[in-house]
Amino acid sequence: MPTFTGLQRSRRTTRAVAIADRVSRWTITVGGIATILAVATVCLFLVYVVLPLLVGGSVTPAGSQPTPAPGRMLAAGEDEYRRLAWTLRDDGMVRALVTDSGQVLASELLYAPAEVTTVQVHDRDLLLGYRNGQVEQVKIGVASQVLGLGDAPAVTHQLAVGSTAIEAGSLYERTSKSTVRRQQLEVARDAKVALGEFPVLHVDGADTPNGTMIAAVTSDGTLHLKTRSERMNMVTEEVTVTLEGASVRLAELVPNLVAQAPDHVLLAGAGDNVYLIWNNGRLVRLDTRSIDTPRFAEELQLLPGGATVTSVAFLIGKQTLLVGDDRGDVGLWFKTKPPNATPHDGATLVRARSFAPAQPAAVVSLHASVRSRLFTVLRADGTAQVLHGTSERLVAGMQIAADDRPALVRMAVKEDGVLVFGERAMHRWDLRAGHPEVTLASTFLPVWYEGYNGPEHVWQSTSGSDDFEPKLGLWTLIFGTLKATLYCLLFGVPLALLAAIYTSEFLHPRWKARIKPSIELMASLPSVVLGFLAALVFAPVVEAHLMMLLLLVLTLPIAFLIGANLWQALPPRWRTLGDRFRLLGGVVALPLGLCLAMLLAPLVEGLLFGGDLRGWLVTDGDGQAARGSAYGGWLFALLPLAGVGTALAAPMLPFLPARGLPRIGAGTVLALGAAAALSGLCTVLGFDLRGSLVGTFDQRNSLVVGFVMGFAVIPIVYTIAEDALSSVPAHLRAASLGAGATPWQTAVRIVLPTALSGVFSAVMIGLGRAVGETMIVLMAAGNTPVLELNLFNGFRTLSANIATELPEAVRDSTHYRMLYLAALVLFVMTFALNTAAEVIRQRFRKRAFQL
Amino acid sequence: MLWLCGGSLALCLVMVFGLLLLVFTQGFGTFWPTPLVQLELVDGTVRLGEVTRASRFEVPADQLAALPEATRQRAQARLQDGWSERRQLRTGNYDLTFEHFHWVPEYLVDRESQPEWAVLVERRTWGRFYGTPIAFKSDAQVVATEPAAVLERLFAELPATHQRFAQAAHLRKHEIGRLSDREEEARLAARAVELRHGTDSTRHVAALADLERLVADTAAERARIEAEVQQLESENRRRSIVLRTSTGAEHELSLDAIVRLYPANRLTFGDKLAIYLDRWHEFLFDDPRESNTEGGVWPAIFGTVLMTLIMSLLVVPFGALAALYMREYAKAGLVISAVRIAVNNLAGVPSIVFGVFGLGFFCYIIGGTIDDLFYPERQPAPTFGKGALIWASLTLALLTLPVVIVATEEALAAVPSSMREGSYACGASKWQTIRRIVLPRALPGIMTGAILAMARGAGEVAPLMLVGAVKLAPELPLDGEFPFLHPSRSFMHLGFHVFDLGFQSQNSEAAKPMVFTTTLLLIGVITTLNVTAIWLRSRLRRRFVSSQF
Repeated sequence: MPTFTGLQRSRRTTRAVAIADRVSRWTITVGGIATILAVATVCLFLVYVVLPLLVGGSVTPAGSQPTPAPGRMLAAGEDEYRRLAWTLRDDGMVRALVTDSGQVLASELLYAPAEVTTVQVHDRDLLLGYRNGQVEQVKIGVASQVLGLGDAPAVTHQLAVGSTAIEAGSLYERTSKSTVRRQQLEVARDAKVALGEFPVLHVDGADTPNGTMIAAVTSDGTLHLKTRSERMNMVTEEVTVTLEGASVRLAELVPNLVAQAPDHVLLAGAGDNVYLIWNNGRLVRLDTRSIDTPRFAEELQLLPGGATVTSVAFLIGKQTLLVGDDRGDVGLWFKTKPPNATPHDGATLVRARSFAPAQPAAVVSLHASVRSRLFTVLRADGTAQVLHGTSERLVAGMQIAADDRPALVRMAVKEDGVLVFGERAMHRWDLRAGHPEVTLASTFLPVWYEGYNGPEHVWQSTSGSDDFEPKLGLWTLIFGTLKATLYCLLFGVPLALLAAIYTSEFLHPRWKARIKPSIELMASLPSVVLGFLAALVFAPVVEAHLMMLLLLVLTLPIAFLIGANLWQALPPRWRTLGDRFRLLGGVVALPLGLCLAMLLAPLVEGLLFGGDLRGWLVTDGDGQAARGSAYGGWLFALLPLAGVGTALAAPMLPFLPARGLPRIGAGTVLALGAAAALSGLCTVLGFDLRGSLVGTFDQRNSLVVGFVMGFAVIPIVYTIAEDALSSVPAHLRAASLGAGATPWQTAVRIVLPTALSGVFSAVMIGLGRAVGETMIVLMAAGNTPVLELNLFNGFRTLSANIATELPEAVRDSTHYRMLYLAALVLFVMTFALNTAAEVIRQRFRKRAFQL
Repeated sequence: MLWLCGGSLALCLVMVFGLLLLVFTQGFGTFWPTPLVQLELVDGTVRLGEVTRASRFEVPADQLAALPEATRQRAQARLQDGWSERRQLRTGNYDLTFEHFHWVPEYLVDRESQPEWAVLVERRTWGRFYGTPIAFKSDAQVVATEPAAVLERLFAELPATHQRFAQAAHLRKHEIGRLSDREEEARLAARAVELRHGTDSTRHVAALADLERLVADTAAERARIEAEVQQLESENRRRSIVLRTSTGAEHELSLDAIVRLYPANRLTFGDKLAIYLDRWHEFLFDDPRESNTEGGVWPAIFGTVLMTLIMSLLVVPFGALAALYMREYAKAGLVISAVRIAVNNLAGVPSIVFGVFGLGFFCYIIGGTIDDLFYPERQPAPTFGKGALIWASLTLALLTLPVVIVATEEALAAVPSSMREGSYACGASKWQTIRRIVLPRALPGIMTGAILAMARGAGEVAPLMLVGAVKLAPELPLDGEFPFLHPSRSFMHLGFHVFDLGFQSQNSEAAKPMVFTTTLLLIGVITTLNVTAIWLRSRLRRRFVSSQF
């Protein structure tokens, strides 16, 4: 077919084009969707890491083995690999049992039954009290040793990895190709010590820096408190055991002592208290911090009338007492120090929690984990539970066979199993505890931690000591985040919005083209730079010139008002000419405000704050102010409010002069008067700003953070708000001006309401940025997790907390997952804020188009 | 009220420019040599140093009371209502005095002078030294005692000394480093054989024998290089100068301990400018010294730029793909607008959240898997399963993805549909239309997005703290060793450098000037990127305005 160009025109698409088209379609579709999915992964991954926190633990039965042996079970234990268990029955025999088969591996007679009057478990040791008044400490355990294949007996050579063999009273397990682990029962006894000639009824021990401390009650009603220390003679290598302490008759120590001896004697903590417990629920606490002179501290009733104590135990750290009774309740008691405590040591035992059973059945046995605040409880109906002492979470529930009677429960050393001894058999479960210390409630609601006076929000994830309990309450961090946001917005939003109104409505377009990008440039300032300036430059300045900076809040607007009035006083011709340079006028007014503040600062500080603002701010732990009257603070805080109030109410006050300086003067007098009167009222009523909104001054404080974070937020709010204001159609302005409104009236009554949703979304987006800001807060906020609104102290935000703690958190630990939860909370907060802003903005756009 | 509005705007502007001015003056002023001031106090102590700050303070009564009777009169006379000026001197000589700075109250100063021959020494360790040169020693023989002669000898010898020092450092770092690397590789290879074929298998034994042979080979080589280094260093140590401090103590400095030395009070403007420029050169191109408080920030600049480049290589193509899909291929509907809102919102999600994601997902899961699959011999030390350049780049790519997507989408939307329709009408396929018509028009917009993403990426620090930025990286992530780019290495970053120096440094007062200059550098990089973006955008707009018909 002839064409104009002479070229042959093909009507068919060439194959290359078709293939390129298809390939590109696929690439773009797959790549595009994959990219979008990758973004979605962020949220899903956070949820994936957090989820195990909320999933409970689980148990799976690991079999029951009959354990035929006479007598009552006194104590039992299990090795950390859960291969061997040992039992002590009242026939005085210690038996090692292979947990897989129930076979008795070895047995040893610990004592003749007639000699011993009491057996008490202390940590992993046993304390035996003898009829002749002696006390003995016995360590029963399983000795584990890893051997090379060459050193192990021949039976182990054919074993598959993970299986076991028994030879000569030892259990061998093939742990790898070349290693074998040998385990055997180990009983180590210390030398007996004599407390007197009367039979020992109860004995308990505690580890103190000076050695093991022993508290024992003998049948003559005497309490013996002794510290047992061993000293080795360097020359003869002879060990001498010394016993120091006091023996006191209980009747002299405890008022109204009933005749019979206590049923349980427990030594708490590092031996600083002795608890005497009777089965009817009576508890007497003795203060034994001074071992030679024990003192009666308090007496209280653990149980309601009629109930009987059946089992007691300590949680890890020996500070929290678990009391099980015959109705099946387990009460959790610890010492608190309330301000109104009556005992001489200022402390009192309180019941912080109690764990009730589904079906009432007496508590038979309690056992606490040696790693965390988990404990197990065994009840008479054969049910066993694994519970967490702080979060109150029920981790797992178990039930032993109906034909057996429960006797003793033990939690595995590594918290990976539960061992229940019945009278006939040994029942085992594998336990996966998960993250029992965290529940939704413990994360966001106050929790009553051990030693605290009541439920509190606490974030304290690490500490030096071993039996420290991590306290993971996110609320303090959320509060810190909100506090940072609040103070940042308080400073940033008014400034940004007013600046946006001025830019869009009053600024010459040529100026606007220069000024807007330079403020946008501020948005790109890296936050680490702002943080550095905040911490090392602004914080010292604020510390040195606090009063002056606070006064600036008042004097700057006053300076602008003075400027405005001077402007009004100019001849109209000059005013029209100078209209372009009005912004410069503002720049000139700034130093004026600064000078005013500098001049006024010593004066105001002297008049209102007793000459020393920072001293005036000091509050004690309970938020009670120490110095000066509350009046100054109120006056200072209420003055701006009164000023704004007067300005708003001015049109409704006919008695004010009509215009000019007289009007301003009268307004000022009115505002001052109102503020003074209100402050007086507040002071008389006994309210004080200190302790709530203001308080003790720290160098790293919210004022600095609010100010500097304003730098980060102002540009965003400013840009978006200005865009919204500028996109209000010009004909609305024209109509308003045409109807005789002044430019200011037009801006405030026509433009601003029309653009309000856009402006609102600007604020929301600013809020989103403030919530997630990390570096500024990390460097300038001091990072102490406190729950105070105080403008002059620091806080710890979610983001700063993640930045400081995540690098050190152990992967997949509870702490690690909690930090992911913090990140998820941040994500959700900002996502919600931004979505709200976006939706509002869409609506605004629709409305703007309609106009 | 109008004035209040104007005032707010003015305040915002003053704040922005005041802040920039502060950073500029502090940043640019840091390296300018200042005179050395010697202050003689009433109690007879003499202090020599550079004035760094000044302030006013109220003199505590007990401080006055502690003075001897005779001097108290004189000091009291200089007080103004109990207040006095004070100056902070950088007195250096940390190894002698255990302080870098000293506040000197003005009312105690009897005499102030600028000693002509006082010199400032920047040392490789222990920070600065201030004193007067009194001798030049060569092989422990004093060869010059007059300050002028000493300095003349010194300036003659210093360049050669520095050259020898650099040579020794090069030998130690690269030559010996190369040998160590070879040994380490052989050790890892042996470990890999052990893992694959079992301990004491024939191959393992052979590999171990290889390793031993290699170690024996390298030992000789290593000894040779070490001897060379020794020789260079002993040559350097032959010459030294003796300085007298303001307190009269004499201190000998070996020449190779000196980085820079100048008689601060004898400098002409030209000398000062030369020192100033030389310090900038050192700052920009040298490695840091003294736990980052001195020396240069070259590794940080390098790390920042490299990380940002890798990030843009990742984010721009994928962001553009996503935008193309959403704008050109996907059917416009509820799902796409929901995705659009979600992508917009992601731009507002805090950067630390991305950091958390990067640490858990990239470093631990993906990096951990790579280690398990490819580097079993290096276990348990992680190779990819820790913070690394590649993970930092990926995390920031994810963080900046919304910026690129939004910008690209806007650019695509701004291409008039009449052009697309015209192209289709001429028989072009969809891809041809996109490639020849849409993309060229949208390119400036996409580039704006890319540059904005780079600016944001370069300024972010919070996520980097979790996924790979470190205080001090021993090796650059890009070097002459195969495979040249090492994505698994940690890196230094300007923003993190600012954080580390300003917040975690032991001696934050001495580090402050460095922080300001680093800040200046960071702001410079980011502002340049942003201004380019703004300029591109305005050009783009102008082009579209003119092309509307």
